[in-house]
Amino acid sequence: MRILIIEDDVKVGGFLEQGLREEGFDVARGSDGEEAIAMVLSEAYDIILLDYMLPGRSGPQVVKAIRDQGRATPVLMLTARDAPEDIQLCLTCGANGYLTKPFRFADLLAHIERLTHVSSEG
Amino acid sequence: MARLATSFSLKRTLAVRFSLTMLTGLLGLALWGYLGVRNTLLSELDTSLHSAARREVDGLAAHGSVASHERSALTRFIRDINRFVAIRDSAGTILASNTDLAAGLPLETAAFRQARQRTPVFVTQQWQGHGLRSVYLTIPGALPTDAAVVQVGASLIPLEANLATVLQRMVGTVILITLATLVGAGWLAASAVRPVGKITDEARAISGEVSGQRITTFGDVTEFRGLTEVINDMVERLERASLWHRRIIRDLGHDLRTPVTAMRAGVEFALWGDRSAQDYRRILASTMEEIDRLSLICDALVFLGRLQAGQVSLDRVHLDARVLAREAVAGSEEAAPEHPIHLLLPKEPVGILVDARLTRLVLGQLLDNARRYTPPDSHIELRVSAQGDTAVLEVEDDGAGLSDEVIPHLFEPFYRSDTARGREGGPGLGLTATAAIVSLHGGTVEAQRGAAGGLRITVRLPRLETENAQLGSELPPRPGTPRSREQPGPFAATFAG
Repeated sequence: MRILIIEDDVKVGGFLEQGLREEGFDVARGSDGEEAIAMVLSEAYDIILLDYMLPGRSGPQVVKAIRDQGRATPVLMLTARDAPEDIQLCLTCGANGYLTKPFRFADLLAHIERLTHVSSEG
Repeated sequence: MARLATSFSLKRTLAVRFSLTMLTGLLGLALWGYLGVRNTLLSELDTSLHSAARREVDGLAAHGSVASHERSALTRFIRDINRFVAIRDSAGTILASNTDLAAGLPLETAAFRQARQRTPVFVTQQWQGHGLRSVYLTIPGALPTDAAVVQVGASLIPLEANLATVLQRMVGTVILITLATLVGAGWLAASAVRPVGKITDEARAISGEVSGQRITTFGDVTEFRGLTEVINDMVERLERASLWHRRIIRDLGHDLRTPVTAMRAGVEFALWGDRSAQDYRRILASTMEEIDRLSLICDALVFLGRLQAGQVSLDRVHLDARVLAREAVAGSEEAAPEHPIHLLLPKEPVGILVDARLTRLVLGQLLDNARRYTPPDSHIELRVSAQGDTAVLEVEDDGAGLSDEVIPHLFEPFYRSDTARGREGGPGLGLTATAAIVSLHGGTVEAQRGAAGGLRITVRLPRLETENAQLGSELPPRPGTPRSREQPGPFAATFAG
């Protein structure tokens, strides 16, 4: 399974990448909004783990751009912002789920499993 | 809700005070009226007595004897209308009287003697258990008898009875008017304080949950407009403060989550499987960096709290702003040589009276901010100039700048636009602290778009008109060692102090 991580925090992104690789995933990583859009449009991924606050474009803006381009790849937002309006913005822009930081790695795996399972069934 | 230990009803107090004032006035008026009536009645009585005495004397002169006088019509008249007549000889002995009672009229010796000097004398005496008003009038010329003085008296009982009636009616009137005043004053006071009650009700209905609630009642009444405006202004300030605090708490939560997330990810990665010693060291180093980041946030919050509570005292010294600028640039280039700073200084010194340590923090923060949001080898300028009585320090870069929507919020705590934040960013408190420090020095700080499209931040401080010799060319020593690029920001080492 191929996973794209878009996270501007080098440490968080690095640990996620290593951890997911050890779980057997094929992982690619980007660190800003523009880069994320370019990567999604150029390659196919099974799921995108997308930080909310990014340089260039915010997470919701990235999701909207991806959806506008017709990409239906599941997007899991990773966000430190859990106000109802922030979560609503994520979902209305096209994200499939969100995980509030800080999160347990096991929870991340569960979300990935759920979203990719639903996606493959759909 | 805190209440005052004692309270009183303004309405009741106003009514009682107004009524007491009215009562005092009415009592004074009644006393004045009573005395006036009494004096008038007494004066009329005196005139009547004097007239009666004069007629008596004239009668005596006409009849020539006391005996014939006793049977005159005048005598009967006087008897019927409360007139007691006694004719006394030169020793004061009564020779004749109009009634048997009058034969016992008391003699006021002093008045009698004075009357002998041909002066009518009026006097009040006690007789038969009540007041007696008398006039003593001498009889001029020689009579066949020994009559010398006519005394005409009148009982004061009718007069006192009349006065008592007048007094009674006056007191009754005063009481009635006072009671009516009390009712009227109560109504007036109630109508005067009713708006206060309604304003209180509206103020009480304002809750912290719904924004924009204001007092609208009686805003058109001149006397209450000021009160409602003051309350509405206060509510607005409280609302802003409340919103500010809520936002601070929310943003602080977000900013705390970032380092905690990195720490959790690292520790969980370490525990997820067996790692090499090198991996553990890397994870521990990463965790330490995040701990530093958390410490920075804590220190910055404490420092800001002290600033806002006025607990930061300034250790002001006379300095040349050019010296501070040179030092800041040197420190910046030492920490980040890939970001050279262009320093533009005037030829003449620019005197300022500032806390060197805090001003150093301000310049360090502005340069750090410019470096953080511009790529290496960008053009960053630090300019110092004197404009009248103001010292101006400007930091300008040619980076991507910020949108017009973001710039006004730049000095708010934790503020970052959603898209402009980078991981190099501090806790979002540096510029807030900068603004607070500048304000503490009586200066201002302003952000705007620079000439090249980047960000320009201008600090204005009061300038000293000081001779060169008085300006310190040597700065107080800097605390600690030069900052490296890995340290989180210029405030990190200094906030805690």
